[in-house]
Amino acid sequence: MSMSSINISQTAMTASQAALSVVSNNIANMNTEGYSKQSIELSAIVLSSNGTALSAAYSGAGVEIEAVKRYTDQYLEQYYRTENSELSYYEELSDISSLVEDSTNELSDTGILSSLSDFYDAIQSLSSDPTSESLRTNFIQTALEVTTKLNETYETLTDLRTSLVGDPDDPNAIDTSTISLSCDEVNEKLAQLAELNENIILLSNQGITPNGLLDQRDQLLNELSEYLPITTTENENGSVNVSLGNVSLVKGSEQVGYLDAIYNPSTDTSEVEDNPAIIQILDSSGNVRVSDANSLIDSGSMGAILEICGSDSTKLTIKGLLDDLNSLASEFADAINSVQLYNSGTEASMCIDSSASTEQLKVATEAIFVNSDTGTTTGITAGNITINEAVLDNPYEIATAIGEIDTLSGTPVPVEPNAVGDNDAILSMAETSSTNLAGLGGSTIKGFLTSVISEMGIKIESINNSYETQDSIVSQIESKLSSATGVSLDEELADLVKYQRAYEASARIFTVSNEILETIVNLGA
Amino acid sequence: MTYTRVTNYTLTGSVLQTLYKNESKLVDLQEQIATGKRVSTVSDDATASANIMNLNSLLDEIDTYISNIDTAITELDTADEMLASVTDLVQQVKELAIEASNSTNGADELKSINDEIVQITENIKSIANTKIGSTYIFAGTNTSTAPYTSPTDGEIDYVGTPSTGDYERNVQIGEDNTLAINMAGDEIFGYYRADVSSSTGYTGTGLFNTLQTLSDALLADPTDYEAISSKLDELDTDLETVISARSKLGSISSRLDMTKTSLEDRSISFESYKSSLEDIDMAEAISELSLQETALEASLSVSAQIMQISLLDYL
Repeated sequence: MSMSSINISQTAMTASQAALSVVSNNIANMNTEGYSKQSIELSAIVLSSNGTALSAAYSGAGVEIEAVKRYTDQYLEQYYRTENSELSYYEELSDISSLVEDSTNELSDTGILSSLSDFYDAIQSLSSDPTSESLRTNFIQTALEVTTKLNETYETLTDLRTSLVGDPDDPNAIDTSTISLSCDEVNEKLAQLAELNENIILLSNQGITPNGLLDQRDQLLNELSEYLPITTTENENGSVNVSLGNVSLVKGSEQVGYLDAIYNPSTDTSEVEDNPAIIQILDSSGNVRVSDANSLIDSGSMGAILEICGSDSTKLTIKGLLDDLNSLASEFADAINSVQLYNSGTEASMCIDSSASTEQLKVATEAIFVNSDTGTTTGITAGNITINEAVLDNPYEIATAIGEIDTLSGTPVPVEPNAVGDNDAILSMAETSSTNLAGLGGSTIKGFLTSVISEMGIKIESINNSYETQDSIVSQIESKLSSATGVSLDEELADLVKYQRAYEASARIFTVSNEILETIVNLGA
Repeated sequence: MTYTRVTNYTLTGSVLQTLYKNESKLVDLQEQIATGKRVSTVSDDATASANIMNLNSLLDEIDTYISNIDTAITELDTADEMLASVTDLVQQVKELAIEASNSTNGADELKSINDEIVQITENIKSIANTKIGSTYIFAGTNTSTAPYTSPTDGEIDYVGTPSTGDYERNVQIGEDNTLAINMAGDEIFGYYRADVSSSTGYTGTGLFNTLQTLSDALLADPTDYEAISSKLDELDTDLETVISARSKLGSISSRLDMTKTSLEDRSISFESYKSSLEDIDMAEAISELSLQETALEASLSVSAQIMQISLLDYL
């Protein structure tokens, strides 16, 4: 009957208006990050609410809004988060390794290799005129270049590592490190997530699907996945549980796990050097739930930092490079010092006695390279290698000759003090550049450095390739995700026209029904 | 890839992706062209980089050997000149000795011949004390002291490293390849020194011995012509010694020349191998650059068209 037509068209107009506001919300948010398209679900009202008997002419009671559905694809979203973690992992590795590469610029003529070449060149020049003061000074200058380069590279790499994970020698440095800041950021997001969960639960208990809050929740989960590899499970009430491996971090509206980066408490100094930072998981009262979660964080930007600042020899690590540089410095210093201080009992290396009135040889007693912390020749590293001050002040202390010695009253003196043109010692020093040293795995000094740098290059190349590949993978997933959940302007505009027409038509029916009613009412008049 | 729904995000997303890819290739090419290098960091090509670093080391070493050889050749050239002069001077002495052996000479003539010979001896002595820079080249390894001194009148003593000792000064001309470039003075010129155990009060050998004893013979009273004649044979022997020393040093010099040439050849071939690894082919890079620029323009114009069209234009 007409009354029912009026009711029916009233439900239609209401439904169309609601649909239009959903469409307008979609268009308004088409560029909002993390927004999932919503669509209205309408269903036909089958039975009228007033329970009157149904007649054969009965067709239905109009349209009602069942729900506003949010487009979502849980499996795709979880997949996206996992791959996004990997992407952030490779991105961070790529960024850090490019900094590492910058500090070891060995292809240019300003690297350690080039300074070693210059030093050996200076040795050769000195061999042709061992008494020349200027050539001796040249030897010192080029040696200084080598030690300076080693010191600088060591310092740059150490500083990089400290800024990321703290300093094995300074327990306080971790407070300002990147890993510690990342932990703080993660904790903040976990707290936000717990709060969102609480609100979501509240609203769902009242029967409302909080689509906007669900979008925010997913966005937060994506951001978290960039830091570390999280797994999520969605609860029936719309809240989500987050865990790292099997360690739960957020359960419903409660944050149950707090990340804390601490200075490695191990008493073994080599363990502290290998891993200066340990990530712990605490509970809300500050008690330790997991004392070492580093192995759980194997992806995301935090995973990348822990890996490159750790000590896994199969991966690119800053410590690995530092250890290699230290070996290089130590073996190099040893090789040169051994020649400088050679004394077999019957012969020894000799330098020039600059205090004598005529040029004469004396037995060399000053090492060339020393440890700047102790002044001795032991424990030399790339960080502390330096030129012995005695040699720096007096280049004549460099041993150039080898000759027989006599031991008079305990001190060795040269048998032939006039043989100042002898260059056996300096030639022997030159030979160290082509000697295979056991301490460097059987490589020569320059050969060792070359292979260390090219191995580093191979690892970095592989990281960059993986990064590129992962980037394409994530882009594709993003596209698919957008296809499943994103807003298409054309689709919305088509819907706009659709609902607008529906509204117009319903309004027209309303008008017609109204006219009919008027006619009926005025029938008796 | 088929899409069931294409959203605006996908459209703009893919547009941006393509643009980024094009632009990043362009940036790479620009850097390569600006530096001329295909490989500027080790991660650009790790295998090539390892080779490049090795080649750099090798090339530096070769340069060092070549410079060592040049220094050595300078000394050897000087030594050769000096020995050429000595040869002439010994010839002169020989002529004077022949003149002196003529029994018609009186004491005065003999004395004046002796004066000339003494002069020539001084000359030879100062040649034997030749110094290059601060190095006495005929002193063995006692390079800071003049090898020949006259502590007392009549002595020409050799105080450099004896040829029986460790006199060699070596030069490195290749890996595990050193060469001695000098000779000890006493082997070329001999010496003449005071010796109380000898009947004459002196012992000696070689050229200086001959010169000093010749001088004694010329001043002897009465003149011993036989002694003077016997000096002629000794002078011949001494001349032989000087000539053979010169040829020994000459052969060292030519060996150095040959080594230098082969080092230079090696250097050239290493340089060209290194260049093939490291340098870009400029023509190829520039044509690649213009290809990328065209691709960029095309993708920009297509993107602009795609992004602008929507249903709004037709409603």
